[in-house]
Amino acid sequence: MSGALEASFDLLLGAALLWLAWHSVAAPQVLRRVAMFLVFGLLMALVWARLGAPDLALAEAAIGAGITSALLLGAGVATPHPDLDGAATRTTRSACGVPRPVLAVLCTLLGIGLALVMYATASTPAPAPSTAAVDAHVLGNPVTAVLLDFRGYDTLLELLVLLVALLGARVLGERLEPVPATAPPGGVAPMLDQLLAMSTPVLLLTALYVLWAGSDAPGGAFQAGALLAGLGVMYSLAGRLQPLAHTPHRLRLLLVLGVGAFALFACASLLWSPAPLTFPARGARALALTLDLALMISVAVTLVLLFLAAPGARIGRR
Amino acid sequence: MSGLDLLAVALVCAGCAFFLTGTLGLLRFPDPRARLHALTKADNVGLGLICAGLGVLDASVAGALKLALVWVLGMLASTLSAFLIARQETVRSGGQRR
Amino acid sequence: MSGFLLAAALLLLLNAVVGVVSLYASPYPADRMLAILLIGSTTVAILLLLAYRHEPPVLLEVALSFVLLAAIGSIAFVQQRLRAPPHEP
Repeated sequence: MSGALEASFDLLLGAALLWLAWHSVAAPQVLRRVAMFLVFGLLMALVWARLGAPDLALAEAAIGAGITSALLLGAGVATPHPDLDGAATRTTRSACGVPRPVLAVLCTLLGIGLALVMYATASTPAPAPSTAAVDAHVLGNPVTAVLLDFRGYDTLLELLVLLVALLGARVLGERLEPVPATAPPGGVAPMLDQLLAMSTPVLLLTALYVLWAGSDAPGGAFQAGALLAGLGVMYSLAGRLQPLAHTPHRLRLLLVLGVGAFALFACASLLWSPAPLTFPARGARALALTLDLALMISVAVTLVLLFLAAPGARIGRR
Repeated sequence: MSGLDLLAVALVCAGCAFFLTGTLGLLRFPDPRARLHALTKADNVGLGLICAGLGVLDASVAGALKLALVWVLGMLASTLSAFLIARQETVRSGGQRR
Repeated sequence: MSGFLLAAALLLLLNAVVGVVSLYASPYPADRMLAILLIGSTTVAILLLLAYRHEPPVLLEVALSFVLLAAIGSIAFVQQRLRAPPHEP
């Protein structure tokens, strides 16, 4: 009975995702495509929950609901777009020049290939020494243990990628337009101040809790950073976060805090081990929490600046 | 099943019934502002009943408080969203923005 | 109890999918935003139900973070950013 229930739930979820995926590229109006894409993102959080990956579900929910929705829905899609809705999307040549039917076949083949590879990977069990090492680690959450300790080098590079992405977005922003004004045409929506007043303490508390709980339970720095970035997006939408044309020094410090903390850790670990990025025998939990804190701050500030599309920001009304 | 379990099942069933009613209203009402009534009110009561049922299941103060928080925040978000969308829809269809 | 919770979650998911498909086809643009709201509340409810199938209910935090940020979409939708190309409805 339970097996049939699980199968039907997963089948419904899969079918819904396929339907949504199709309509997020093929729907006639841009608002429809955006809405279906956002719904797709929210259902993905359910997929992660069903697959037993609450850390991913947390990240998907925070980023999908907080940042992606604000970016896509705020981009002028509420009114009809002659450029995006009209004849331009009806041609058989896509933007990159390849005919659309060819692209469709290629993407389908790629999807099938990826599905086969993932199925094969999921069927082979992880090697026993790695699972034993993860289980024996001082951090109870295997995801955090892998991110910070076993694959710390990858996390360092990911932080660098995030920083480079921000710099690239900044270059692009300067080329396209100067610092945009964030006052919306009709004025800021009412009741937002009250929403902020009620949400700020809860969001801050939840983010810090998710950060602290990430050592032993699902959570971690990226999820907490995404939550804080959601708070920043709310502040920006309420007109309380003003973009600046330059990056203040304190903001620069916060942006490089994550990479810097990891780099310092990499060098410092040479004091107690021949290899860099090795956790010490004692004080590993405190170190992990400190690194996570630095990561969270950097991720949050980077995401908010990416949303604002401005080099800097300050809290305060216009 | 114990009495508490039965209570939890009853509350969750009632919650699902409210969700179903909400979607029924969504399908049958003529325009977005009417649909917003069905969506936000019925779905939030449904969420509240489900939270109550799960709180009975959880039987711990911390869990019950967290569930209550989820419900209150859900209502907050729905209230604001419904108000903003209805206001914009009124303006778009030519009514007076209040 | 675990089977019951999953059955309730299945019912809610079916509910939401039917709602979204119907709202997708409607002629009003605001209905697309309603679809996102519908999926939002239903996803929170489903996450809560799925959470209590395990011990400890870790998905509870996922539902909490999601509901904290749920209003952002609607706010962004009604306030279009100034950079958007000016189109009169």
